[in-house]
Amino acid sequence: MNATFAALPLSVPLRDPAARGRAAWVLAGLVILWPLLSIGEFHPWVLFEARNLKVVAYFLAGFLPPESSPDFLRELAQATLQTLAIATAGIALAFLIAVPLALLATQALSVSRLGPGPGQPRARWLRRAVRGLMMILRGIPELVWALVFVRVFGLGPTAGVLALGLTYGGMLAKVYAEILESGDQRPVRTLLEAGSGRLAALCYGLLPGSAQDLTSYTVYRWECAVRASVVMGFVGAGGLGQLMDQSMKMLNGGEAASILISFLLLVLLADALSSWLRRLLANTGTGNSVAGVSALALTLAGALGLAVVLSFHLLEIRLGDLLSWDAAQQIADFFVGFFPPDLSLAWLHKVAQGALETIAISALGTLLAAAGGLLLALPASGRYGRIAAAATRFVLNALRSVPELVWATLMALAAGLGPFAGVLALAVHTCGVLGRLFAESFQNASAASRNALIESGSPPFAAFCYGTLPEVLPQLVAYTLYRWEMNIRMAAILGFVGAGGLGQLLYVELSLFHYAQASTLIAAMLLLSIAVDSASAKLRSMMNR
Amino acid sequence: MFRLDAISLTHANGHVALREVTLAAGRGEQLAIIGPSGAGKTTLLRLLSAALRPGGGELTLLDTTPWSLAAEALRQLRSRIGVAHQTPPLPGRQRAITAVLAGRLGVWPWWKALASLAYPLDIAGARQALAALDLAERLFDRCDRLSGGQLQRVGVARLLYQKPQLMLADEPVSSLDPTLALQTLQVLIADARARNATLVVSLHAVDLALACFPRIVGVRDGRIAFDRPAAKVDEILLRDLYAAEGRQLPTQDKQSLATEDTPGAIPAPAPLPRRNNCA
Repeated sequence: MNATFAALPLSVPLRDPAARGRAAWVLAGLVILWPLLSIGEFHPWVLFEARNLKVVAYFLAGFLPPESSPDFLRELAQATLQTLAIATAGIALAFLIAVPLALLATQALSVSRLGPGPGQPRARWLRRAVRGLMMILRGIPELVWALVFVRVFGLGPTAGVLALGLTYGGMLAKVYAEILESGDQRPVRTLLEAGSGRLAALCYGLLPGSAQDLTSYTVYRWECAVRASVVMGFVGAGGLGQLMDQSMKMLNGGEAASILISFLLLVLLADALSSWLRRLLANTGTGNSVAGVSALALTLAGALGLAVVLSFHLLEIRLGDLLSWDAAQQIADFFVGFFPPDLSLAWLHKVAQGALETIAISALGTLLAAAGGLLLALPASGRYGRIAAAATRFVLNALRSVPELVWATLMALAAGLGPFAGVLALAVHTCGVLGRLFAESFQNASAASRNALIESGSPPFAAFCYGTLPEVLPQLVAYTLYRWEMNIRMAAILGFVGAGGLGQLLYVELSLFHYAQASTLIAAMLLLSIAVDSASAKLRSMMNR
Repeated sequence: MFRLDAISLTHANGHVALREVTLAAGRGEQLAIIGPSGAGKTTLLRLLSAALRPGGGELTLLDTTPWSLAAEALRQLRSRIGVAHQTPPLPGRQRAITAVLAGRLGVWPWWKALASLAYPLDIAGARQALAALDLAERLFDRCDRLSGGQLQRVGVARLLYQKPQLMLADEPVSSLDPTLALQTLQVLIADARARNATLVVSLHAVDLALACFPRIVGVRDGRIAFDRPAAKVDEILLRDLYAAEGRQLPTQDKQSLATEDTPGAIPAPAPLPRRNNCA
């Protein structure tokens, strides 16, 4: 060896400088995880207790054959139709709520910003207030709204429609405002500067450019509303969910199986319809148009209007009634009961405990899901052959098609009531979601590093750890953190079926008509989801350094 | 050590990369492969690393026929063959030390491979390999913080750390300046000699090949154009080899040798780009 190299002073230490930092992270992780395990009542062994095993086995054995008596099927068809109607009517209501909010909130239609002209501070405050209202509307999960409205309007679809309308109204308004702001601003600004009114400026300056995006997003939200309306039945807001809740409580496996099957079919159908509509929308715009409105658009609008009218008719709700002075009075009277919130120390202490439990459920559920997703993603990415890939993909699809709340009901049977059932439910559903996302990352990662290791004799698993994992790890962590944000909201709700956390407290307090306590809980849910959003955003930016 | 007997290879896209190539080398031998781009140098090296399966002919590596082996035996054979790539495929977020230690994954048990991800298990070994290439101070730096030339040397360090019996390097010094390129080749050559390993290096720079290697193999159009001791490689051979690349012979120093201006004239015996200071 050349002398100049051998004589080089080895000034670099023989200790890994990153080791201390890593050890600190691991230690911090353990310190956080340990109490979470105890708060989340993480007792996997209860799954194998003879009593629980027997209940689950009895229930699952009942799945075969699925119930198919004509009476039940008729009931099932009716419930399915009702679910669809709730989703459609809910989206229609959401649209009515979202449009004025979005127009008020969007910067794109601000007249006072020109110049800036007179009244700018006032307009800015108004916009802020509207944005705050939108945040509250969509920050409180639809299931909580549904639970509240069931108290006002009684059991039935009305509560579901209203809940969907409010939550999705907030979401649609936010996205509408963003879409309006993201397009080309010059046409609308020119119109406003020429003294045009705001509505005219919207129609002539903004809609031509963004109508397609707006419609496409609304259709996508309808698809989400179908899933959501199934779940809302669990708190008594009608449809398939209510039927499923009853069957599960009676441990009627055959009925539950039939309902699950029709639910999965319904979701698949909504998926297909929604993606077909959106593709159709993406391909139009250059077609034959008369006065800017194509025949297709008119047909679609007509069909949509008909669907909405039929939905309200089927549900025996009149939109006018929902938006009437009476209804508003009724809701207002009810909501007055929520103020002031109960801020006594004893109650706050209890709420804090519930919040901790919710955090524990979401964090443990997401962690387990990430671990399981990683394991399942390996075969799903085609690493062990095509048959293994197809089989695991089927399993992952099945896991994520069943909503968390349905899993929670099942898990409550398997593990007893309490937070652990929530952990399991989140873990199973999220595992399906993350497994699929992880598998896609593995497939998209460049194979060069891994192949180079394989070619120098490394076993496949080590080559994966040294070649593929370092490239995809940031993406895997980002996906997991995103799901954690969604799961904290879900964990707050799972309590409705007895899976612990804030939801369980809320369910109990609302049943006891303790509205002051309930409003503290709802505020805690809002705060929690905002806090987790910002914590997760911070962690993600740290990962990308 | 290895023997290629009438090896042919056609890529999946129909491109014929190698035609009836016959080549052999014994233990401890050192040879350089030169030739214009697209001649088949990389394909040849990938055959030697048992990464590509030949379409025809007989291939013997380290006294076995790799493509008749069972999966586990093939893996063990591959762990005795090491490759340094022209652009080492290293994950950007991986640290240089991990990238170097990955050279021994073929012999490490799985638990050691996993544990080393948490805390590098052979810091001294990785440091020694990097220090030989003047990179010791980048030991704990991430690969995406290294320049192209530094990455190339990390790739060479992985090869050194692997200690394979058959060392292959595909243009391992293409991103290095002349001095570093020479030093890096010297390290490879000294290491191969010390362990009596076989060393095959493909090089773009003719002068480096002639200066450092006793045996030169010229490849053109998927065929062996010549295979002879470096002392017997003359300019006519070289100009034939690189005929398609215009009038320049690729060399380490940028001022390549220009050929005679008058076409058809017998080239004057210009001094060959030769160095005598290699190892």
